[in-house]
Amino acid sequence: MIRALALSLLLLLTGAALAPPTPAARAEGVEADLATHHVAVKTDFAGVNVLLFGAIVNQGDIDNLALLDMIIVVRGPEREMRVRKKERIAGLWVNRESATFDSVPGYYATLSTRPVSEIAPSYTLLQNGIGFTSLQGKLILSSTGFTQGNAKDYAAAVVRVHQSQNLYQELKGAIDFTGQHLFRAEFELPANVPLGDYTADVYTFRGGKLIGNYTTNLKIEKSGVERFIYELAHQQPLIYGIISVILALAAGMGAAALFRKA
Amino acid sequence: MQIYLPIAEQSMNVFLVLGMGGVVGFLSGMFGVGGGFLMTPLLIFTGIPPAVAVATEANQIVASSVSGSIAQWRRKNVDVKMGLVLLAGGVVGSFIGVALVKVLRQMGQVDLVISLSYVFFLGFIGTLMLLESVRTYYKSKSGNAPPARRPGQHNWIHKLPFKMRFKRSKLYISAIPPILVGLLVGLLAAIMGVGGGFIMVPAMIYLLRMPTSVVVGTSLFQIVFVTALVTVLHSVQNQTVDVVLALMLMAGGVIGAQIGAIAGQKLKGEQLRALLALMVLGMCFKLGFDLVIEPSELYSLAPALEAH
Repeated sequence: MIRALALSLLLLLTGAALAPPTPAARAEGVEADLATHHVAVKTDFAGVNVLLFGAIVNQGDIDNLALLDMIIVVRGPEREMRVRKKERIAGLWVNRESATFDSVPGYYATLSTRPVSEIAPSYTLLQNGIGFTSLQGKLILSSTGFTQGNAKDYAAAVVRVHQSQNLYQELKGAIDFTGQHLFRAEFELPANVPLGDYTADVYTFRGGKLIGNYTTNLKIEKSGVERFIYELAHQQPLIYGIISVILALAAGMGAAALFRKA
Repeated sequence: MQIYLPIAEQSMNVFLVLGMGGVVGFLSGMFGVGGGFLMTPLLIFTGIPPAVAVATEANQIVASSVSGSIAQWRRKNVDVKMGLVLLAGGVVGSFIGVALVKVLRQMGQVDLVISLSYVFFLGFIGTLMLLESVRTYYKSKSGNAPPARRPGQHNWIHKLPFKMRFKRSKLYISAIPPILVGLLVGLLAAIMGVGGGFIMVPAMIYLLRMPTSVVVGTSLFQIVFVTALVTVLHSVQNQTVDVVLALMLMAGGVIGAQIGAIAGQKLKGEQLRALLALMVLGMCFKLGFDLVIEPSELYSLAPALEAH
């Protein structure tokens, strides 16, 4: 349903874009939307795929243009993170040195038509925070607690650890184009995805030059019982603890009564 | 079928959780051991953060020990005065243990301390259990009676001050040793998510010389209160009790324990006890091995916790 609606909306959009009396000076751009702006984490949440779709607007005569490239960056909520490094001490691998990054995105996915580094020069990528390399650069700038020498290793570790948890993803060739204007792409939010506010930025490039971008938002929230339990545990921890104990007492005594009768 | 755990913030297979609860419940029903020292390492192996595993397991033990302690209470097998003295130590131990976990979390050393505690205690218990089952096996072959214990024997404990009379246990001893035993058990409950019966029962028999008839009831009495307190303290200090996980473990554990109790009456225990001992040693080895081999990822991430 939503998809059908979205598609008809897209046709309208592109129809308008193609309509003949367009002011010639209007710049080429991109418009996009998500199939959903709200993801509810319920009891059976096991991750979800989110569809992003959109259109290139005011596209000129494509025969005279360089190849279009697109990068979609999905960023999760930023948190202060402590990174620890293990060292061998007396035969055991023990956390030793540590450093803190002030704002680490809990989720970071790039979807692109080609490898990000081939699409645009590194300073353009860095300026817009696109790709793991520029992400690491930003992390280093927001870091405290170590010398410049090992900052790079720690920032690389942040990316690596998140990647191993499927929270940072780099998907090349993950954008499907339909004709000249319409595109769609899907990104995966795994079950361990951090909750909070997400942004999805769509960047379009021609010949390494950024020609359009569009931002849309997504919110991931616990809902229902999950939300109730989480909020109780963090806002009323004493009551939460007492309820946990009462539930356990009831479960233990209930089970004993049940099996005595059986 | 996956279920999302609101505090651990990850999803887990429902049948895996129920199965783990069931298997550990089966073993504890069969051998009369508490499940904590088996369940906490299993939870850690499945990827639950150790601090969450410990606090959640304390919550589960409340459920698994309450029915037993009520049954013992009805049979008047609880020395209430001794239980309260043990509990006094247990309360202090729980507070220290939970505060220690909080500090260790800030230092990033909580996983290490939990693992090391388990390597030590699992190695200790596993070895004792294995020796005992081997000894019983040879005894049943040769038919020798076990050496008789000498009752009324005085040891250093009788020289300590603050003596109290424990009528139910027919003891007149210093309150210091039971308080210290309770304190140790409270500490272990907070740091390891165990009831601590494996320490308390031998200590009551060999150190305090309590009559065996009241040992199990009194230790269960203390365990219910200490694990309940640890659950509340971890909730308040660390927000690490996952009640959804705990309830599922309880469901599996209750059913497993009933089946285990029936199986325990029918099966020959000694070979199985040796098997359990080997399992315990296996877990000890795995935890120890993970500390010693070079990890594939040297770096780890955690949300920065401010020290209060």
